Amino acid sequence: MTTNGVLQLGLSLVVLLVSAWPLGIFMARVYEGQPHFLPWLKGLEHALYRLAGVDPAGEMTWRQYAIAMLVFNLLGILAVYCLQRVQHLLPLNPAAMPAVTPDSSFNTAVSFATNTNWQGYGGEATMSYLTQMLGLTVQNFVSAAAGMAVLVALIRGFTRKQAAGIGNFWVDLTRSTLYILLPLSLMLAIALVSQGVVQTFNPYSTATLLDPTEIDEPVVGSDGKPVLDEKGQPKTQKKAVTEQTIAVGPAASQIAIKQLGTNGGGFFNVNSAHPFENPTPLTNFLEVLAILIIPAALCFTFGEMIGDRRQGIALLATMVVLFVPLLALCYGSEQAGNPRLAAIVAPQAAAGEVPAIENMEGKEVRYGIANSALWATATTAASNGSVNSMHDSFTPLGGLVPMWLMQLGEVIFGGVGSGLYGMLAFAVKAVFVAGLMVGRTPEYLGKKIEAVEVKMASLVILVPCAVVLIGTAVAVLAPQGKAMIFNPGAYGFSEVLYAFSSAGNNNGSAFAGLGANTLFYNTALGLAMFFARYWLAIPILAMAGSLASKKLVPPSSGTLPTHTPLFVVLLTSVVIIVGALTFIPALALGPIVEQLQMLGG
Amino acid sequence: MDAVFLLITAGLAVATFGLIWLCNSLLGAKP
Repeated sequence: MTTNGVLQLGLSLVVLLVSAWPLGIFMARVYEGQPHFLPWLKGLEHALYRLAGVDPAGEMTWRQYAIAMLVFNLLGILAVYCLQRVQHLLPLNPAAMPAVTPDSSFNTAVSFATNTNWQGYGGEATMSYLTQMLGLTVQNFVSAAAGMAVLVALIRGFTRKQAAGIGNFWVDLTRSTLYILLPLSLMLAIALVSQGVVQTFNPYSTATLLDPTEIDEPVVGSDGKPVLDEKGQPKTQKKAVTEQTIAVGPAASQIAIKQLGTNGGGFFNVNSAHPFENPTPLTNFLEVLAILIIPAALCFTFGEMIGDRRQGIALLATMVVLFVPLLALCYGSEQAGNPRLAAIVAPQAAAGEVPAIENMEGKEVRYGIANSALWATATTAASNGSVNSMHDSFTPLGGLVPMWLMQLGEVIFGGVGSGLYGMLAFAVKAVFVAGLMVGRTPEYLGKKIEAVEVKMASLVILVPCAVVLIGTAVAVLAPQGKAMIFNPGAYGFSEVLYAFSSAGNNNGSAFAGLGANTLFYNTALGLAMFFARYWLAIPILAMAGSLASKKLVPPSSGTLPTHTPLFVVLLTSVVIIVGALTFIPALALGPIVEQLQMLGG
Repeated sequence: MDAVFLLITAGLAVATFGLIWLCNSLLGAKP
């Protein structure tokens, strides 16, 4: 690791923590309906309620809240599916994109509604402007807002005493979008445009190449299939390439919300490695900050809403304690590169025979190894999934870090809302474990933790683990799954494990070596994303309902303090132990064996 | 194929409403 790199990472973390605090306090005011610095939006908020026939004062039970959330999301899935299937008939399609296939439409609809934004397709080669804006960008906003709403409902579960209601889903959804996501996205989009990120309705541009080239193009028969030679290989013919199509579009507005909402679905196929998505070091810094800021700020929101800021700080400290060593491992592994290659090159470089090299394989070459590692760690710690470098090209240990961060349940910052409610499920588990270990009363924030809460927390922790491991097992056994693994052995297994870890924890990033845009993977990963989102949100809401109905218990000598460094250590241990016990065997078959193979030559 | 994926979505919705019912039963069963 270089001093320069470490300083950049340290500065990014400091700016994140400093800026998250005021945002967190602001969000608490928004959700509690208190005055804040956007009072002029109040009229619009109430106009929206009147238009939709919503009574903002109407409280919902946890069941009503869950049903509203689920129905809203199902309608979103249906809308995005239909939009993709008929995009060729709709306006704002200057590149004349055809309809998206049914399996890819299903995968993408579930992906964007669940805040995953797994992309089996290349955006600029598949989606019309209308689909990108009306389908994908709208879901970027509302899926993020839905996650924040579920978190706020859970926080109310802790703060309310013997109450049946946990808030109103429509109000929480509207406030999240109107006061938090829209203003922040507007500010970020303008900042991105100022740096050169494209935002236009113009059609794709065509440039004449200064240096024309030739490519081998497959020969296609009249049936549309490749023509094979006598050896069974596809026939090719030389084709002169003199022009290049430059994809543009309304990118900045989508990129702003995809980072802030921890969505991650890029406008362009290579995400933020594309100069039109991430043109300068400043945009790189702002986008990484945007990925982490709302999940971090929500910890302060939590502390503010429950009336004890120390509780939120303890949860944020747990996230930082887990994040920093994994960032160091990823950065260290990538900086070191392959030690066997370094052993060959270093003496020659010292003798001046060859230039000194760094491990730039797959990295964002404009911003270096440190910023590639920071993005990879941030995007998988938060359930964002956008990339500025190719995780597929990382060293085995460097690639293990993003994979394990997802497998830990996306609770280290995590998705907006979903990260913190996942961490709160772990906190409930930690309190329960402490009760078993040292005889403490299982209480958290003044609420008794009983069998129901532990069962719900267990569901939240176990569902994604089951989805990832069962999905991976099916894919490596099924012929349709194996057919699309282009790399043999442990590396191919890592690619499949990464895909299901990403979908099964609503992240969306990928090891690009897997051919995932097939009927099998589109369907299997679509199912994984659905279960990973709604089969966690519903137990969380049930827990919120159960907690809200309870009395507040005053702290006693038997109460475990949950704002202390001791609790941070306990919570960190529970997260790591669950993650380690569940996934180390699978990781041993993939990146760990790859690392050993690399060291062994 | 469209019908297949709409059926899958409907099946997922039914299963998830089933989960709401299950969680509700667990809450109702508490002492």
